[in-house]
Amino acid sequence: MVSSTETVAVPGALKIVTDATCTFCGCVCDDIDLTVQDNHITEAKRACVLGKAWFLSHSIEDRPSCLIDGKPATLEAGYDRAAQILTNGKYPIVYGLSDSPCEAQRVAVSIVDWINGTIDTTTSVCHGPSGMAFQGVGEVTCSLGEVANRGDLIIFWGSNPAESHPRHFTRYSLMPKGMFLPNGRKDRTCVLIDVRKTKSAKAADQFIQIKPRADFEALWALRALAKGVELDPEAVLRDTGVELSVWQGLMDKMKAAKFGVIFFGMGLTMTRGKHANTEALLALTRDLNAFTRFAAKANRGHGNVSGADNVVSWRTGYPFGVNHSRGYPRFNPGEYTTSDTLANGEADSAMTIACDPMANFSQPAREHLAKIPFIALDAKETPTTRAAAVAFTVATYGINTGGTVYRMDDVPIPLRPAFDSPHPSDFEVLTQIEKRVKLIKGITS
Amino acid sequence: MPNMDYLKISQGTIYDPANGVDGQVRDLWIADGRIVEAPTDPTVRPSRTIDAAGLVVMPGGIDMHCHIAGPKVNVARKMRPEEKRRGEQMRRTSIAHSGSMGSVPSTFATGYKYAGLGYTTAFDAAVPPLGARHAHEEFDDTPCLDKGFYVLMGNNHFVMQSIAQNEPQKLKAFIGWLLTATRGFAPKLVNPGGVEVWKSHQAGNVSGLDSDIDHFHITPRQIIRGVAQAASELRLPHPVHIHCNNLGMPGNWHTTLDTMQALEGHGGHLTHVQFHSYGGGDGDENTFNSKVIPLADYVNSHPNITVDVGQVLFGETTSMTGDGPLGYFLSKVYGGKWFSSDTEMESGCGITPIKYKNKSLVHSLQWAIGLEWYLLVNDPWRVVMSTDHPNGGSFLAYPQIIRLLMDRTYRQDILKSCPIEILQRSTLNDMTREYTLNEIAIITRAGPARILGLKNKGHLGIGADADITIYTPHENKETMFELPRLVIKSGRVVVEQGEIRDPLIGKTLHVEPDYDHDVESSIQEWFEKYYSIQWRNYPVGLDYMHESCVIPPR
Amino acid sequence: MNSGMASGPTLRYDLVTDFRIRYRMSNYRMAETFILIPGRTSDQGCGISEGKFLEKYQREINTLMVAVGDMSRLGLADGDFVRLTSEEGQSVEVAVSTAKKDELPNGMLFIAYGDISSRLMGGDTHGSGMPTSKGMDVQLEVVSQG
Repeated sequence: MVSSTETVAVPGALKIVTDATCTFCGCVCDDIDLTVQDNHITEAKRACVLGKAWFLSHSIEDRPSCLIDGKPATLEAGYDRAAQILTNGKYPIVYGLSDSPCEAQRVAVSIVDWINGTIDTTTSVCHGPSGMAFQGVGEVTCSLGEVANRGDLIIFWGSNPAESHPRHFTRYSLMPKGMFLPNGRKDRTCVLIDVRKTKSAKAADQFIQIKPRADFEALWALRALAKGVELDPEAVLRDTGVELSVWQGLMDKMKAAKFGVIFFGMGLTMTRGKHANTEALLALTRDLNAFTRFAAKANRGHGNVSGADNVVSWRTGYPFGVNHSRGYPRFNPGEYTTSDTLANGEADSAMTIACDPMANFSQPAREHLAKIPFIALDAKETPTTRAAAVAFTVATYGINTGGTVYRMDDVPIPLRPAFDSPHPSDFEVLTQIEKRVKLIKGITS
Repeated sequence: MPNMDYLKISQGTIYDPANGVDGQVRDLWIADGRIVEAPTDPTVRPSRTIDAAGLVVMPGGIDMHCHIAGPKVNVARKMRPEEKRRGEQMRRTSIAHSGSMGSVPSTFATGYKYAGLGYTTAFDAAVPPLGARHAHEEFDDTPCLDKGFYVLMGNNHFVMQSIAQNEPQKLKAFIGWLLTATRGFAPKLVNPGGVEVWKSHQAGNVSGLDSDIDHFHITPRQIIRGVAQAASELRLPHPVHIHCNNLGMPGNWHTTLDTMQALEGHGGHLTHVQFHSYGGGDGDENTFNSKVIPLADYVNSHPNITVDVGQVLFGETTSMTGDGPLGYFLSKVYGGKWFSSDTEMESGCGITPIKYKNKSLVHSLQWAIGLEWYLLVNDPWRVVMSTDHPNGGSFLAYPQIIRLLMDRTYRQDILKSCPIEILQRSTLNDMTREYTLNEIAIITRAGPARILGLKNKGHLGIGADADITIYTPHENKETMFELPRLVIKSGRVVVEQGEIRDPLIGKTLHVEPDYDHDVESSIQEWFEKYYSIQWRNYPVGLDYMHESCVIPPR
Repeated sequence: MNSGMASGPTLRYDLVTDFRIRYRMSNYRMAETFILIPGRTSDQGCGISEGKFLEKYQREINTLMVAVGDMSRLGLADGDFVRLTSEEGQSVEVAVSTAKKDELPNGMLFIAYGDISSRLMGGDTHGSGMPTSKGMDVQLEVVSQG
C-alpha cells in the first residue's frame, strides 16, 4: 500500500503533490497536481469540475471518528460493536466499496468470508446488468489509451460524460492526438445516442434521439443492419423513434470505421431491459468485428468500482452479489444483490462502506435498512451515516491515504495522498473489525 | 548452531535428480526455510520429525507456465459463473478462505489446490505490463506458492520500434527497464507482431515469420531474434519464453521450426509446443496430423532450446491467451461467448470457453501430440510438464498426465477410445517409453527450476528452499500424485493429505537485470506521448510484494 | 472540436399521445403519465463531495426538469410544485424547473439522482439486482401554481 506522500517543498507552508490521482469518477485521472496548505487542498491543477469539488472539499472533517447510535464513541468501542453486529446476524450483508482502495476491499471480502455473509458492491446498481450481459456474450474491449491512439468512431450510448466524466473527451476519447489520429478531434467522428439531448450533445457530430426504453430495439435494429437483414422502415420508426435511414447511416459509419468504440452508460442498465440492453450492445460490438475492429466499454461511475469488481472476483470467483451463507461463495444477481436483500427484508445486519444507500436506494430497500443494525464507513456525513448504529468517519482515499484503484478499463493506478487525516482509513477500520470478527468466530488464519 | 529450530524428514525415499539422488533413503534437515546439513552435535534434536519411511520425497513441484493471476485470468473468472456452481465448492475453514473452482479457480482456491497437489512454485505466463500491478495484487491473495510472471513484450511498440530502427542496445535496455518496472520474471513473446496486426485490421494476423508487421515494417523473425539476443546479453535467469505465431493452425509446425531456427543459438523456451506441432495445410482439418518427430529431432540436437508441452485433456475448460487473433479464431470455432481486450502499446487478450472431446479427431490428435512430445524429447531436462492451465486443461490434471507417461497400458486404453484415424496421423500407439519416478521429478520440478535459473529450487541439496512434497507410493501413479501425504513450503507444513495447515502467502520471484539507465529518458518521451497513465504511476513499487525475492542473473 | 452539430432527426413520435393510448388515466384528476429519467448532473456530482446536506446538492436533487412544451401546456412556471406518483403508488411533491430548449422531449421528465428519485423507485429488480431507476412511468399532477 502506497502510504508515503511524494512531495516537493514550496516556500511557505505550501506543498505540491504531482501526479495525484482523482478518484471521483471512473476516469481516474492520475495527472493532477495538488497544492496543499494546512491540511487543505487549495488547487487541483487539470482536475475537472467534479475533480475540483472532490479535492477542494475534502479537508479534515470536524466530526468524531466514531459515533455509536449517533453519540461520539471511541474507535475501540466502535470496532467492538461493529464486530458484534456482524457476527450476531443470521444474514449479514456488506455493501459499497466503490470508493475504497483495493487494499480495503480485500479486507471487507475477508470479513464476509469469516461471517458467512453476503458481499455486494455498488456495481449491482450501476453496471451490474452489464456484468451479467458480459457473462452471456463476452465483450470486445480495449484500454482507454487504445481509444486515444486508434478510435476513429466514438459512440456514446445512454451516457452523458459531459456531466458524469468531464475529462473523458479531452483525455481519452475525442480530443487526444493519438498515434494513428495525428489531428485529434478532426480525425474522429462522434455520435451520441440518448433519450434526451444532454450536455454531451455539443461534443458530438451527430445526435440520435431514441424513444425512451427503446435501446434494446434500436440495438437489435443495428444488429440486423450489420448482417444485412431487411427491416420494415415503419416498424423501425415505431419501435425506436428514429428513421431506418438514420440507423442505416450509422451502420455505414460503423463499418467504415477502422477502430470504433461504443461507450455505454446507465441509460442502458437502469432502464427496463437492463442486462438485455447491454447484452444487445455487446453482441453488436462483437458482430462488427466481422467487418472491422470495434470495442465497447462501460463508462463506470465511481473511482474504484472496477477495483471492487476485480477484488471480489479474484477472491470469490464472482464479480458482485456473492453469498457465503453455506461457507462458500454463490452468485445470484437479483437474490444476493443489495437492492434485493434489503427490499425483500432478508438482511438482518449490514455494513456499508463508502456508499450511500439511504440516499440512492429504492424506498422499500431504504425502509428495511433503517430497521436493521448497521455500520457505515464514509469520509463525509451522509443520510446513511446518520442512520447507522455505528458510523466511522474515515480518511479519504487518494487524498489522505494511499492504495490502489482500477480505472474503468481495469488499469490499476496507485494513489498519492496529499495530507494526513486524524481519522483512520477504511483499511484500518476494516482491519480492526476483522481482527475482532476472527476472535469471535474462532478464525486463526 | 544448537539453537536452531530444526525440522527433520526421516528416512524418506528421495528423488532429487539435480543432485543425482534416485530413490535413496536419507534424512533431510530443515531450518530457517532451507535445507541444511545435519547437525554435527548428536544431542541436537529437531523440534519436529516427520517419519517418511516408505514414502517418496521430492522437491516441491514447479509449474513454469500457467495462467493464475492478472487481468485476463480475472476476466475469465467473472465470465464463467456457470461452471462454478456445479464444480467443487471450497468451503472456508478456521484457517483458510473459501473459494470457487471451475476451470479458473479464485486466488485462494488456486493456491490451496496447487499446494494440495505438491506444487510450491508457479509462474503466470502472460501479464501485460500495464496490468502488472494487478497480477501482484492477486499474488498477494494466492497462498502456499512462490510466484512470478512473464511480461508480454512481443507486440510492444517500443520493442518493435527499436528493432525497426536497428537499435539493439536500446532494445536490451528497454527489456531490462520493463522487467524491473513491472517486477516481472522473464520476457514473453506471444504471437510476436501478430497481435499488432490484429489491432489494426479486421481478423488481422501475421501468417509466418517473414510477414510484414504494420506500421513498423519489421517481421516476427526480427522480434524473436532481437529479444532472444537481448535477453541473453542481459543474462536473464529465464531468457525468453515464446508462444509462437500461428498457434493451433494446421501446418503450423513450419512456423515452429522457423522460430527455433530464428533463435540462432540463443537460449529460448517454446511454450505449449503441443499447440504448435501440427501438419496439414490451409486450415483443412482433414489433413491435420502430428509433426512432433521433426520438431523433437530439432530440439534433441539443439541444447539451446527447451519446451513445455501444453497437454490437452478431454473435458471443458477456458481458453485464455495474450494472442488476440487466436481468441477471435477460437470464438468462431466454438461459437461461445468471447472476450477480447487490446492494451495500449503492449498486448492483446482473448478468452472463450472450449471443450476438448475424445470423439473429435482433432482434439484426440492434440491429446496424442502432447504425449508424443514427452516421449520423443530424449533429454527430460528440456521438456516440462504443463497443461498451459487452463488452456489445455486444469493443472489438476497433472497426476493423470503422470500416469499416462508412466503407464503405457493406461495410455493405450485411452488411445483406443479415440477415433481410429488417429493411428495414421500420430505415432503415439507405437511408443513404448515409460517415464520413471526420477524422470517425473525432472519434468515437474528439477527441469523447470534449471530452465528458469532458480538455483534454490527444484532440488534438495544443502541451501535449497525447503519446498518439499512427500508422496505415499501407489501402483496407480495418478492416485499417488493427486494426494500427497505432506507438502512443505519454506520449511513449514502447508498441507497434509489435502488439508490446509498453514496457508502462508509465499514469495514473489522477480528480476532486476543491469541495464543502461540512460535509455529511460527516451522511454519516458515515448511513454508520455502514447500512454493513458502517468509515467510515474507505471512502475510497480516494492510494497506490492508480500516478500520480494530477486533472482540473480545467470 | 468538429463543426457544429449535424442535425439529428427530430423525435417525430409523440410520446404523450402514445401514453394516452397505452395507459389508462389514473384516478387523479388532471394526472397524466410521464417518463422520468433520473441521472447524474454536474452540480449533483459536485454536491456529493461538497456535502449532501448543503444547499447545492439539496437544490439539485429536489428540482424536477420539465420540457418547455409541457411547462407551457400545463401552465407551469419555475418553482411551481407537482406531485409525482410511481407505479408502486409512492408519491412525492417536487418543484419544477424548465429544461433547456431542446434537452427534453415533451412527455419526459428529468431529475438528478437523490432522495426524490429513490422515493419513486420500486424494490423489484426483476432478477437483475438493479431496480428500474431510469425510464420510470410516473403520474404527474399539478399541485401549486405561482
